[in-house]
Amino acid sequence: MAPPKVQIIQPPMDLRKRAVNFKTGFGVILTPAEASQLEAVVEKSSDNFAKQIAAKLKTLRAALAGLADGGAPHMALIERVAADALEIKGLGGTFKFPLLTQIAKSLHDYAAPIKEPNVWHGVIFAHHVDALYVVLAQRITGLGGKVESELLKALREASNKFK
Amino acid sequence: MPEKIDFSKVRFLICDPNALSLTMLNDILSMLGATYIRKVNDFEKAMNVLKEGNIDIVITEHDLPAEGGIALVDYIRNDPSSRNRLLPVILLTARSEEQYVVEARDHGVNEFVAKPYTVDSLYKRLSMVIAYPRPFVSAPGYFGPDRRRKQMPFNGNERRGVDPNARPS
Repeated sequence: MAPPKVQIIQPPMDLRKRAVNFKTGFGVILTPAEASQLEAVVEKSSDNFAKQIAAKLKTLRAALAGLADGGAPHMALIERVAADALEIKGLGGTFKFPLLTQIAKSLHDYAAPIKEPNVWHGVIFAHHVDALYVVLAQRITGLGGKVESELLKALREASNKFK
Repeated sequence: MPEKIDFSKVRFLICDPNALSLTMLNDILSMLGATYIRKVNDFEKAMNVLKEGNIDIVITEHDLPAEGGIALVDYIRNDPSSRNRLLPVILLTARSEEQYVVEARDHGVNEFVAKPYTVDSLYKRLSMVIAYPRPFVSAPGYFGPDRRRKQMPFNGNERRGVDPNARPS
């Protein structure tokens, strides 16, 4: 039997021909000045980011606080927690909040696999949301210090313990 | 003289369900000089734009309602109605774990950028797909950019038919 046919196709060069030149635009390799120009775009969106994430966390906090006494979160809420956590994970570091990204990752890793909700899930969610809120409110950019590192470790340990 | 990229000549489709992510990406591309940027927040709208055929680069999230970013890549690479099977696709996603990188690569994504990203990392991928496009491979079970990034010396028999003028069927 003949071996399956594999073809190598030369890359299309029409986009390169159209866009690459020696006069106009940004360097194929960014200069420091060009990189700063682009960083400024992110800086500009930073306030908007903080406002939007704060609003999300506020809504989550209210939903978690509204759980019936000792009740487990319903699946719709769990899915929303996982989706919001993934979003915050993806944005935090870009806006110089890598700690936000790490806490959100811990929350997403905890929430996403849940199939059968229990009371502890709501408790662990609430601790994560509170931690995210503090990082944002205190504007803790970077990875923080020893306290923040201990907090993250504690959240991960609690997540592992109360699956 | 160093080469430059004139982004006003590049037409973008950007797909992300998160409004803030979408706006930021739009702002970065605008700052680069791009003027043709189609923004969508779900799979159906992305498909509609692709069917019009006036796109040079797609930047998409993995988690795209309702079918997902990978289904979009599958459409571009493998669907008989795809307008351009060689369209460069950059996956810009918060799904940064290894399994997603492998999935993206095996479905024919050109470049993978994990969120949170820096503008520099995004720019490098953009620059790669525009200035240094990779060859494509058409094989049973795979159509997409060549997945081999390193040029390794090979002393065995060459069993791959190399046709520089071959086009996708």
